[in-house]
Order: sequence, then C-alpha cells, then structure tokens
Amino acid sequence: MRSFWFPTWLAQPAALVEGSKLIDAPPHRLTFEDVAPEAVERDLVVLHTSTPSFASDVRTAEAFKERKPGLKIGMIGAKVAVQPEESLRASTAIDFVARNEFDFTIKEVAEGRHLADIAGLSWRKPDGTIRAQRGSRRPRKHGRSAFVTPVYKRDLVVENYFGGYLKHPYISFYTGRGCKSRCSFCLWPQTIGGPPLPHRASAT
Amino acid sequence: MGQNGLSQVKEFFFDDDTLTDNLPRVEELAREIGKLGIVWSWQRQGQRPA
Repeated sequence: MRSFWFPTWLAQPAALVEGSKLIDAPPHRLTFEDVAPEAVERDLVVLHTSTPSFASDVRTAEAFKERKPGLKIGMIGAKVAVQPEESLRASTAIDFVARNEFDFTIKEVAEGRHLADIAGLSWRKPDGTIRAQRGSRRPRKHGRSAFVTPVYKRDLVVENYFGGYLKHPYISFYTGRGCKSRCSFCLWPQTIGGPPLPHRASAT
Repeated sequence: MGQNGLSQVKEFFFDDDTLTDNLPRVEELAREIGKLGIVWSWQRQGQRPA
C-alpha cells in the first residue's frame, strides 16, 4: 500500500524561516538530480535524518557539498539529537546538527547568528574540531509548534500523501509539544523532549 | 483551515500524541471544529485521563 506521511517536523523550521523551501522528495518522486539544482542555489540546507536513512542522507549531503563547497549543511532528527558527535564525525559534509527543539535553532542559524551562540547546536569548527553548546536541551520558551499549513500549500502537492486509515487527500500537523509523562519506552523525551507546554489556541 | 487554500483536503489529522492531555482545550477544539463541519482525527495514548 502506498503510504506517505507529511514532513511535519521539517515543515516547522521551514515555516519559521522566510524564503525557505520545503522539499519532500519521495512522495513527489523527485530524484537527487531533481533536487540538487535547487539545493545549490541556497546558502543553507537542512536534512531531516533518521538512523535507517542516515548513510544515504550523508551521501546526499556530500554530493551537495561537491557541487557547492561553500554550502552550509545541517541535520535534524532523533538520530542526530541522540548522537550529535558521532553524526558529525560521520562526514565533514555535515556542518552542524540541531538537537531537541530544533526549529528555533534552525531559525537562528538561518538568521546568520554565530554557531557558538546558538543553544541546542553541535557543530564543526573550521579547524575540524567538534563543539557542542553547553546544556543538551534548548530552553523551551517558545512553546508551540509553528503553523505549517501555509508551507504545505506553498511547497507540497497534498494529493501525493496517503495514510491508510485517513481520507484522501489529508493533511497532518502538530499543534503542541511535550508530554506530562516521562515514559522510559518512549522515543520523544530523549529526542524532542522537554516538559509539556500550552498547545496552540484552538482558534488558530 | 480551509481558508488556507487547502479546500481539497478531506481529513485533518492532529499528529500530536498528547492532544487529549489537556481536556478543557480538546473540548474547546472539538466544539470549534464541529462548527466547521470537517473530518478530523488525532492520536492518543492508550490510557484514560487521570
């Protein structure tokens, strides 16, 4: 069965960064050659990675860097949140990884702030050494998830997404963060993590 | 939500794992969505609220 979920997490920093573009290649059947010209036009590329896709994502980052050595490339996702140093050591094509509440971290990177001044970031210095901002968690002062539906409309073909138990076409999104429980078997406390926060107001 | 130019959408899925943790909020949300007459769905851990 064809099943594609919306890139809910990558869409959130995309919604916060003016002039961004959200690319979700598999459901749109885009190849590397389709995506690469767009990527090398940019100053900053952020890839959402995962443990099973990491090796492939690293090859993609390296291929972007070959075409544009000055391109800044970062990664987000549970894999790099849990293993920031190991991930950075995997390839010099990765300039930084953003841990935990990465959407606001990425916003600050896109604004051109010095990497050493951005909470929740691990990065590679020009001399090759790897540095991490002190404190593993970014303070959750912002709380709510970004409003992503304008980004979906701008950058995605919603008909390309399918969920087996949802009507077609559908959209999915998050409206809140965190959880009051700290279940030891759950992925989220150790990745996105943090305490519960106010949800988006129902009016929005 | 249809005002955002996604009028073709037939179902709105709240991916929040903890949507129903805040009962007053989810009731308010349900009443507002009810007025819109749209199909919506959500996730929820398998436990009753305390």
